[in-house]
Amino acid sequence: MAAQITPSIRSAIERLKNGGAINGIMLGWRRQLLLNLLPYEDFRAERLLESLHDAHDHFASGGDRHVHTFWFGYETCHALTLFRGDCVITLLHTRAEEADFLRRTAQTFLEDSQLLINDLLNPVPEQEDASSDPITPI
Amino acid sequence: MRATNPTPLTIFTLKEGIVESTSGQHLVDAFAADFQGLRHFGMKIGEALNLGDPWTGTAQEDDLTVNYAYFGEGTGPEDPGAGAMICKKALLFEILTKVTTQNL
Repeated sequence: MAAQITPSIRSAIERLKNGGAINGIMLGWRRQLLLNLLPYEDFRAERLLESLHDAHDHFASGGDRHVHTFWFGYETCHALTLFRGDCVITLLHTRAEEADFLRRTAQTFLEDSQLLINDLLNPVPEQEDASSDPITPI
Repeated sequence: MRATNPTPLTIFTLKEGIVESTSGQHLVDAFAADFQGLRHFGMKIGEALNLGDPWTGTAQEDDLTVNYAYFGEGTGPEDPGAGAMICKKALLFEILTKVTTQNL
């Protein structure tokens, strides 16, 4: 019996977490929180997501501007955010010098994981095992 | 408001709540607007995650990078700092280093 290999968005993000000195990751789709791997409760991640979209909309409101990256530095960590299509990802990281590497890594993650995100947003019912198909009379 | 070709890197100073630069007034106005927006939303994000106020912020488009940073004396509107604007997708750490070394 063949084993079914199902890549998950969570495992992909867990791998991304090992890309540097990363404290946490949040993935959103539009204003909906998809995955919260931040060291914060969901309500804080949702407030973060709202603020990020507000910032994105603020800069876009004057015309044709499209800010795709925000990077803020706080006393204890940095917050790096990337927008791609309807998706937004935020990485909390501690080393400023890793920002450019992490940006490229997160961009690649967002590009490569569009199908996984689509699966997460539009789950299909599990297909029944072939062996359990009813036997049709000949 | 989009700046008009601030190339190469244009440096701004933040002192006692005033943005200054040797470049033209239109660039100063453009940077001041982006700086205020960045600072405001950086504070909102810091509030959401209980991180406090940001000491630096960057916004980047395909053809524009805007950054500001305070020099460590505080993150209030009157505190000293610097900013930069460049019409390209610059490296984040490189532009931050350029801005923070304006104090040296």
